[in-house]
Amino acid sequence: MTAPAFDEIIHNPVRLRACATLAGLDFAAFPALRDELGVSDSVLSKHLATLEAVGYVKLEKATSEGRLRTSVSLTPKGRKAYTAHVAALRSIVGAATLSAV
Amino acid sequence: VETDPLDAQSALDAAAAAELRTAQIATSTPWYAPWYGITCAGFSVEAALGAVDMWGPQLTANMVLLASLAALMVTYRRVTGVWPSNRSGGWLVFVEAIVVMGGAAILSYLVAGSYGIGLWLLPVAVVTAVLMALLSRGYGAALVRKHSAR
Repeated sequence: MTAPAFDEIIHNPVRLRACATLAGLDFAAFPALRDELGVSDSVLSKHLATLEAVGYVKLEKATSEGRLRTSVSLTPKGRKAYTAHVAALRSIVGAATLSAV
Repeated sequence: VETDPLDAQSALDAAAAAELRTAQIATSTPWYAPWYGITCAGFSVEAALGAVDMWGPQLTANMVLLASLAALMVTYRRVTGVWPSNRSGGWLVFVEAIVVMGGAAILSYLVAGSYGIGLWLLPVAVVTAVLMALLSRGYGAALVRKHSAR
C-alpha cells in the first residue's frame, strides 16, 4: 500500500494522463503516446522533459531502419510517485465525501 | 496543497480513462493470440522431433519458431506502439504458459520416444495452440476488465 502523496509535477493534466498511460506498460513509443494524449510533438516533449528532470520517466532513443525512434517508460520512482498521487487524489475525494455525509 | 475535491475526482477519472485506454490498445490485436498459440504449439512438434533424433528438422523447427516469436513481438510493438508491463498480472500468465507448453513438450517427447512421430502429434499441437491462444486472450480480457471496473 502506497502512502498518499500529492505530486504537483504529476498533477498537470497532460503529465497525469502520460503517467497513467505508462503505468500499465513497460514502454510506449513516442508517437503512440503523443497520439494517445492528443498533443503535439513539442508539447509532449516539454512535458516528458519535466518528468525526466525529476527522474519519473526514462527516454530511450534507438535508430531503426534509418529513423530515430524514442520510447518512453515510467521509472520505479515515477511509478511510485504516480501511485502515491492517485492515492492522494482518492483521499481528497474520500474526505470530501465523508464530510458531506 | 489545496485541491478541490471536484478537481481531484476529474483527475482520477482522467487517469482511470487513460489506464483503460492503454489496456484496450494493448489488447487491440486479434491476430496476436492465434499467432502466439500456433508458435507455442510448434515447440511440442520440435520436442517430438528431438525424441526421434531428427536433429536437422528439429534445428530447423527451432529456428523457425524463434523467428516467429521474434516477428510476433516486433509486429506487435510496431502496430500498437506499446509493450504491456508484467506488473499487470503478466507473471501468472507466464507461469501458466510455461506449464501448458512444458507439459505439451514433455508429453510429445515421451510419446514420440515410445511410438515415433505420428498423427497423435496433431491433436497435441492443436490443443496446445488453442490453450495458449486462450491464455493470451484471457490475459487481455482480464486486463481490460480490471481497468473497466474502476
